Amino acid sequence: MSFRGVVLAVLGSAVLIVVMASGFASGDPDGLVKTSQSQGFDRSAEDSATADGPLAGYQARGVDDPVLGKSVSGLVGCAVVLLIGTATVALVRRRGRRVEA
Amino acid sequence: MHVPDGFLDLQTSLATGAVAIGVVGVAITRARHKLEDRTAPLAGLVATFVFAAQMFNFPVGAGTSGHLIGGALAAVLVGPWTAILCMSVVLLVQAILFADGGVTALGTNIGLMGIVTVAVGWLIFRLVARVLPKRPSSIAPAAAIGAFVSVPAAAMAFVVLYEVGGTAGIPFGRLAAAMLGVHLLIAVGEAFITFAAVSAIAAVRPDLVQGAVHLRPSAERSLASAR
Repeated sequence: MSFRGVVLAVLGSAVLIVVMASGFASGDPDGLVKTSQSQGFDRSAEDSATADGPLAGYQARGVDDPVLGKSVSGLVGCAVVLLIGTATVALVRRRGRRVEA
Repeated sequence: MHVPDGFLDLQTSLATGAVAIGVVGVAITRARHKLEDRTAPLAGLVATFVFAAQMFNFPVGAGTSGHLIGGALAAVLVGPWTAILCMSVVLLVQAILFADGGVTALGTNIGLMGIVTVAVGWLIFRLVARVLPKRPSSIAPAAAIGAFVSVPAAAMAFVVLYEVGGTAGIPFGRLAAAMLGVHLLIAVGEAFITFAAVSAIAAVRPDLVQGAVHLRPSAERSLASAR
């Protein structure tokens, strides 16, 4: 498979996973949250400073349908992570070359 | 396993933040020498895949869910130092955009999910890969075992942090038993997804898998490590 093919396959699976997750992911508390509930320290959790953001909780604000809201926020998240991840690696490499030059 | 604000006290959160900054700094320096022109673009892709997969909570019974952490997966695909950077980007975006994991807890979350899972996942992967036959089909099972161990390791790291700086006094043994019990189940999912993802890439392009670098012809390998 070409490198381009791998890139498209990975991005395609990420998009598919986000859309599937929006409809089918378990809404149960995760292992840490569940443990905090059973051990009685869940109430010490505080709202994050970013809890009022437009994508907080994987629900795009202004989208009424929860499945669509999660899909939209997840796809935006994928784009942002791809952008920042790629930029981070590019910056790390560029700085490296300058240091060695 | 995203730790919210308020679980750990401020001093502990500052300490994990300092450790996270230090390790990410080392990762930047080390990743610089490891990244090859050919495979560098994979890092952003791996981060994106990990972000997407972390949204997919799967049920593990008893009204509890878990999701892939992805540290071991990232380590095997792009190498441990680059993996720490990938995971840190994912966790940063989750904390800022999605309020998933606290902001003061970001250092804690990078420590647990971005550093502990990567380090443990990679070490176990290397150990297992050493005893398995040296061929591409050994990569995915070794990665899956690394992934399996990485999850309870991160859970235990949380328990230790909680004993040091938890805001409620929970006995160590009780918390450890609860965290380990549920995360051993989640680890099965982690191993399964890691196996599927690594075997898919190793099947079509084993040359893109950093964890398979020891399988490359030695001339190419020394060229790669010289860079």
